Amino acid sequence: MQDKKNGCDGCGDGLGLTRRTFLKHLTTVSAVVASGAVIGLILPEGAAGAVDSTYDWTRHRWVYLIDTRACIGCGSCARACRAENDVPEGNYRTWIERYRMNAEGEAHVDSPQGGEFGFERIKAGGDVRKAFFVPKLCNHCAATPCTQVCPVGASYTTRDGVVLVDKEHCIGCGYCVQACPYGSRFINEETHTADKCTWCYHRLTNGRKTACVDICPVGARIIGDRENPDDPINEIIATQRIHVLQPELLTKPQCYYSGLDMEVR
Amino acid sequence: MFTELTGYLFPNDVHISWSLMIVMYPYITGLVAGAFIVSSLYHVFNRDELKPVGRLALATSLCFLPAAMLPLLNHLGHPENALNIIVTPNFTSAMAGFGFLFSAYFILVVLEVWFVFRADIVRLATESRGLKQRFYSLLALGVYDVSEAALAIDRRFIRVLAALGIPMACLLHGYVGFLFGALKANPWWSTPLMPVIFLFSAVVSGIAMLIVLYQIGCRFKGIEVDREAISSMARWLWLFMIMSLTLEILEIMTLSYERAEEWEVIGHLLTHQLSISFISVQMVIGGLIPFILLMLVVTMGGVMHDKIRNTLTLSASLLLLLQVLSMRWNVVIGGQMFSKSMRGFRETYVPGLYEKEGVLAAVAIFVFPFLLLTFFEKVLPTLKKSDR
Amino acid sequence: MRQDSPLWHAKHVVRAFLLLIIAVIALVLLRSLLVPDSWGQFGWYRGDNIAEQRAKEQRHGGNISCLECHDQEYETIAGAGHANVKCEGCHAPVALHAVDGEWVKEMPVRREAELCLNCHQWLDARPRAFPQVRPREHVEEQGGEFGPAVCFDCHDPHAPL
Repeated sequence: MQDKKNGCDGCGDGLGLTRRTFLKHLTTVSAVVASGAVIGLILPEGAAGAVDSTYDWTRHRWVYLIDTRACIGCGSCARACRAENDVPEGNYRTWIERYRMNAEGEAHVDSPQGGEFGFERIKAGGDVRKAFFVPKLCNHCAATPCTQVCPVGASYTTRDGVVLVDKEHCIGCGYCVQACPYGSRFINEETHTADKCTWCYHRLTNGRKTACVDICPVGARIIGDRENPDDPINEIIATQRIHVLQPELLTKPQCYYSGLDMEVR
Repeated sequence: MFTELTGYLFPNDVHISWSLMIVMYPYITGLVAGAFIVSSLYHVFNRDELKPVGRLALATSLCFLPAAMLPLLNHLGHPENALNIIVTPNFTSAMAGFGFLFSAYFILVVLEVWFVFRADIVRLATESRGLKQRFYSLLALGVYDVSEAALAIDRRFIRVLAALGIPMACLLHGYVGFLFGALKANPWWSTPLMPVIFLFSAVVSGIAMLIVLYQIGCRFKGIEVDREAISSMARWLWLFMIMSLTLEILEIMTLSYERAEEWEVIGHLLTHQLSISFISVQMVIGGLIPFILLMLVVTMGGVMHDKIRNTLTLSASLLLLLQVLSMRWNVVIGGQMFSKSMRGFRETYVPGLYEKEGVLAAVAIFVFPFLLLTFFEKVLPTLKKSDR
Repeated sequence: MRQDSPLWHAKHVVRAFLLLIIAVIALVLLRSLLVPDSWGQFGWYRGDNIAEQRAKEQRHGGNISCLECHDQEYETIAGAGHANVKCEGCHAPVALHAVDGEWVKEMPVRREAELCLNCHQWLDARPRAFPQVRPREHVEEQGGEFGPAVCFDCHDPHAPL
């Protein structure tokens, strides 16, 4: 990708709009930017994009934002994630939960096969008064308990804020799996090592967004750069009411949620 | 494997990633630490009545020590990378201490065993011929000095090592409890009491194991079971089991009384998934019954027939060995019976018989230290008639 | 050393500790051999892993990666109600189909109602403003008969409305 720096030139004029129109605006802008990136290439950037040698990880810090009000529970993100990252069946780097509450506030929660193939209509839960989907993934916590407990230094946080696992060095003890309060980690049954969402580090650092963000048809998932003042995600975090999962654990998640219900943890 | 799930579990939480092996690991480490503490009672605190089991205690500690590693190695996804834990230890991880604590403790126990048995080694080296002689000579490091002055030096080292060994044993096992107790993600594990509970139950299991080994050993060797030694061990066992059980109950009581958020999950866990292994086994069969048995021995031991006392102590010890095993099970497996979503449970976990981390593997690992101990007894006898 | 010196009788201790020191030194040496070359380059982890992570194959290329061969569909979808729906969302990652402009494998085309219902089946948890249908009722209202591929009688997935 030759034109990586233009991440969001000209997005700044979106500030001050309502969120919904703002997000819409953002989608158009990024589409324009994306097509701009391709002009001049003989072939569209193929699947196996080359490694961008100009990427400077000290100049980025990635954060993620999920709009639970926008999610339609189609499962595209979970399918894309599995295909992009070779996630074995039965394990999930990302999944979608469905919450359905009756008038008493009792929650009925489900996530059949991680929501990967969408959701069916169900009757359980009685008279549903409030219902929504919540996409989940690794929170890439700034004070993460998972890398803290890795006994061999096989899991670490990159300078641009992504929590990764070195599967060559991992001994597969599973301590990090136990230490994650969000259930984001698992032991990969094929590699026998700890595995988790990487925020598609191979895409993110080479000018693309994560597969889940790219595939989402409703813009419920966005990823952005805290170090880039023009990135629209900073405006949202600065001005909107946002929340993180299980804030009481002080793990400082870097996945923010808007429209999160208190039943979600 | 078919698993019944209720409620909502995070999709990655339907696996039990810490298996039976991780139950075995703290169990065996506990036996190591507990046995060592008995030997130190004799060597440091001059409990002379424990002299008949002093050497056995040390040998037990030494033989169970390598066995403590086996369940971990069998559990690791990449055992060939296991050395990474001392090659690139990540010191923010509680687990990274393992390599160092374990090696330091290993060195300490080997040294102490050597000093304690050195006179025997030298005697055997001078008495035997051929290959045997070479073996013992190697063990003696080629020095046959058993003069009173040399033995005095040995005794001094034994005392220092035994004294050092107490905090080391506490660290080694407190650390195991810390592994669980310091994980904020899991409300069933996350309590500062965890290391203390682990420590006391370790001492309980260690004393209990020694009582069993001592009585079996005596029977095999045709030695009379020493009354003083058994009575003393029964008293210590009683004391430590009371403390251990009190702590275990206190932990539950506090959680229950606070009615904190986690009680919803833990209360359900204790009354459903863990009802047999916690209430029946850990508290009643393994707790209350040995408590009564040992109380009989402690209060009426003086007028008791030797055989009755020995049988009562032995039964109580066997039950306590089961109690500590169930406590490890309830902590390790119990902590994985619910999802971190706090909305879902798995109903049962039954390890397979033949699977890699299954029951047979666990039994094999547990038998290993007994084989080692039998070998040790052949090479360096620990139980002698002359001890009293 | 005189024979009545207390150290005279400590020969065995000296040997034991010498052995211990040798063992510890051997271990330390062994450790330095085993530490990966790039360890500590950026932090307490294997520095080379960063490059390994970054070099992994990208499978999703976005709509733009379809343009070269499917410009017609690319234009259609960009101008209609599914402008935000990605080609790879309904089909498959481009890498399964073409790599570096070379054809690899047929792209799946799912002409079945389930493809649409994944997003448009009426569900109580879906945002109300999002277009969704109760499929049987919807088809019957339009005078049709529900079948496995009935949606495509009226809707083109590339330009649904």
